[in-house]
Amino acid sequence: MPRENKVPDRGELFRQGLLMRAVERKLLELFEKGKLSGTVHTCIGQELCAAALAPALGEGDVVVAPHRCHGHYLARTGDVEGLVAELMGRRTGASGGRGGSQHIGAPGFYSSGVQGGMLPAAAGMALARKLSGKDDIVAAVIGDGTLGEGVLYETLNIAAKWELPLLVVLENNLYAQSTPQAQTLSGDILSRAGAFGIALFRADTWDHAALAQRCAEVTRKVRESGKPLFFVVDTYRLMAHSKGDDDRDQAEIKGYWEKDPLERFMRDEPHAAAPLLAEAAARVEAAVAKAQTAGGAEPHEDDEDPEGTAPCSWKPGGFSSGERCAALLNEALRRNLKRDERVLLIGEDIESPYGGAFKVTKGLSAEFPGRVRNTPISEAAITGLGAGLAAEGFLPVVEIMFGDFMALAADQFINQAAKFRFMYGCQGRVPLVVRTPMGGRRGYGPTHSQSLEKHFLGVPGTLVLALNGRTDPGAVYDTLLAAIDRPTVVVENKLLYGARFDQPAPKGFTLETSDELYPTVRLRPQGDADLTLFCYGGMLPEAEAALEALFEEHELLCELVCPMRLYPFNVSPVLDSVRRTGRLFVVEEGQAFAALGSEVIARVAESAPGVLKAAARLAAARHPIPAAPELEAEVLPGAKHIVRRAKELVHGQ
Amino acid sequence: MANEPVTVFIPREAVNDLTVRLSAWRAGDKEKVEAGQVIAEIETSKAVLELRAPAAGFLRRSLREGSDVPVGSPLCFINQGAEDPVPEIEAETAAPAADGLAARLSRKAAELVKQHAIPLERFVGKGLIREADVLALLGQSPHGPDLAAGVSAKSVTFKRQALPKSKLAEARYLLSGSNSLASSVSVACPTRGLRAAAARHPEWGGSPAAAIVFEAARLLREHPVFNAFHEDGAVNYYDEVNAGFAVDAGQGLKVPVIRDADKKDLGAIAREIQDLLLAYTNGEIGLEAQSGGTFTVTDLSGEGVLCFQPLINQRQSAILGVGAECEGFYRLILAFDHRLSEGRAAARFLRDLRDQLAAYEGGKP
Repeated sequence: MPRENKVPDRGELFRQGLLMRAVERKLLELFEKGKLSGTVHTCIGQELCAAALAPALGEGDVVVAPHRCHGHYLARTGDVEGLVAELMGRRTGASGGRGGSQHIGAPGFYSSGVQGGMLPAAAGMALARKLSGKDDIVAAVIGDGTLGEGVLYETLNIAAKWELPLLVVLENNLYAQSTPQAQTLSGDILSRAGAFGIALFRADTWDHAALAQRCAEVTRKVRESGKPLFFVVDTYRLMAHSKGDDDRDQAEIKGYWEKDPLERFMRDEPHAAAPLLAEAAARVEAAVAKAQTAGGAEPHEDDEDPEGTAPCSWKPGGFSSGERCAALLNEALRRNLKRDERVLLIGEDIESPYGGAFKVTKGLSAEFPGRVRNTPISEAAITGLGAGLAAEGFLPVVEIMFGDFMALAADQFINQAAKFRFMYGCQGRVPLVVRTPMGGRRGYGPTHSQSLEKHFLGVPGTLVLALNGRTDPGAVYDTLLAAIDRPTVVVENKLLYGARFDQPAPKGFTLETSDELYPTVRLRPQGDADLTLFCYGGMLPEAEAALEALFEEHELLCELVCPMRLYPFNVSPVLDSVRRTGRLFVVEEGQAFAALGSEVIARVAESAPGVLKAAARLAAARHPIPAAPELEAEVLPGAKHIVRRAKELVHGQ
Repeated sequence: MANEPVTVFIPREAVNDLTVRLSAWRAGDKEKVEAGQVIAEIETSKAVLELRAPAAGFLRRSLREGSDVPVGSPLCFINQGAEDPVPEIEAETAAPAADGLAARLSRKAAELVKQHAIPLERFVGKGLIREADVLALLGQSPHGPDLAAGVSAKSVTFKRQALPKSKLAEARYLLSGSNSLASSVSVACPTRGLRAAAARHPEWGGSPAAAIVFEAARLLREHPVFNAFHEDGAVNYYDEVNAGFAVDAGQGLKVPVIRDADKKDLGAIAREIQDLLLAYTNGEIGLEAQSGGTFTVTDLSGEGVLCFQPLINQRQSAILGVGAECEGFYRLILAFDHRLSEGRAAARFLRDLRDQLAAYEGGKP
């Protein structure tokens, strides 16, 4: 590991640069021979940026690299074997062979394949360093193609406003894949970052001495000021974006080859270059030889859910409290802020006096200064920021004000946070909690009323919970913040916030709670049930009302099963019920198509062939959610719809 | 300003009572009443009270006499206009059991229970009760012929009168596994006269049954409590006497009904019984023929049974059993619903019946 703020001399720069070039040429050769799959993004022509930057960084610093990451990985770690093995898909690869060219992790190093996708996490890691009182910094490397990504500006804004030690290095190679910058970039690059009041620096890979000096300067500046800095390094990619897909002007490319410092070094000083080339070649050949004998990549140990079909035991009763849900959540967050210093609350409008759109965080920012933070309206950035904090050992709880806005956070949750553990090994543990209210029935209209959780179900490595009116919402957070080991979405519910937990179980039905970590509740009738009614989250009150009406008015007995953990999904509680009833009716507030209900029916059907005799789904109408209350009540599934469909299920259409 | 109705509440006169019984209205719906005028009588566990109008106006009432109304809740309204709208008031339908074991009934089950005057105590600890459960209790398959529905109040009219609170309490405490509080008395009836009469009347088919039905039906007019049924704490007296005649001759028990048995002469009844027996043999007794009974006679005299306890049919209060002849006497048994009457009243009925039948010895008819 290099020591920080070191200015490498010319020899060292060229040694590193030639090693990178040798490795990447070998990777292209292996690709030609069919020894690599996927893709290879080389940085041939840009190597000196990585070679100059890495020595300026210290052990506690982090490099967050983009898809074109090989050079930065080598500069940061010197691990030729790990890189070659990674691209060859071997278990000895830096990420176990699972990540490939674009997704490489090592202590103090992350790379990922979505443009700008890791920037919020980089800001989160920078915040973690700041909160820990260290003077370590995060260097986030991007390409000029990333200038089109909104999340870059969300991140720059937060980094500037919160004064985060984040060095953004923009490798400006003039092309986004094959598209010339002139086609897509308006204005100029530096004034973008300048608009956020961020310090600006510029260098290029042709004047390597100035570049090395500048790298040491910018890292020192970020370290000393604790503030972000935007550093543009002009450069040129000599090879194709990935493999042979090069439509650039050949004369232009030729000109840059001639200008390239490493090419000139080899041409003008062959005697000096020879030993460096020989050393590089030897390391590369050894790495390839070693990788060829190593075993293939292995599946991630976490991919199988141990509780997927685990039977559970039940105890009578559910949660009971005269307090409103929002107050219980507030108390639970307070309790956890007090209990564990790593807990942080991040979200829009969550500070006092406002306390969040649904008042869940009311008063907490005053009690825990600095640990409950208002953010700009930047759902993607704050979710990724949370992921970065979590990767650094904090327990961030991000509030997304409306569940609909989870769509804005989806890239950060699905493409980034969910993959850390897989891509980056043990350092990728991401105890990130994202709280968000889903559900309608408040007249908020099409973009503030949806139940979008199905889009977050089935992302390996994540957990999705849904609060309901029969389970202690505070205890969920106690458990979660103590046991969390992966990015988690907690689906809250707008109507639930105001509800109290004081309704007795419907008369004649037994309320039971499972012993699962995130318990399932069920209502069992005293008598043989005709069907199993499955629901979750905000649908529970409607399902309970339907269960009562079905008995009172329609002579049908339902067994109601309501899990808290939607993903990974344990089929056991519902399967157990269907074994008794033979009929499964799934009800959910979101869209039915390819949603949890379908999944549950499929799981029950495939888990126990022959048990399921009839099944039905009920969900929102295929329609955006209207604001007008009468219409909204028709679009969203309510008790009366459940009753109607349940009768059809039992008695036939 | 709209004419807000004045709500008349049930006063808290008897602190021990959760409900009081509306025993009578003293003014009609939409009738003009003066302030202070008596509008209703309510019965507490201790006394009958008169309830006076708190204001002048038009009385608006929807509760039936005999309803139980929670203390402190609305009983009726006094309106400024006779046609002004008023809220609905619901009477207490079922008294909840004191403990949490009270069963919960579906609407249809509750209707059936009410219709058949089944005490809710029968369902204690049984959880959720559906229509099928009640039908099963009544011995009827939910999918078989719905006799209970057939024996409806549609075809037979009756007058309803609330039972006194003491009688209700008795039912609550004494009740055990039946839809009625069954009790029975029996008397011995000399057979000689009936035999002789049967011999004189070949249309009797050799059985005294026609005479027994004939005499019992007439007596029921003097003993209306046995031509009645219990429902929801009230006795309901039938306006007609329709005698069911139980027949079981190898094709299952059927109870064809002899309508207006108290108005028919003995010959007509005898012929009707012979027709019914023929119809039974031909399998022609359907639901229609079995519906509308208000009292039942079951004759097991041909079976050599001396004495038995017949089961009271749904929505009836008594059944007359006829045992076999022994040493010159038939045994007559009256099973009756103790919620409506007592052994002494039943004994009086049987004694009267015996006296009527004994008179056949003198050559009657």
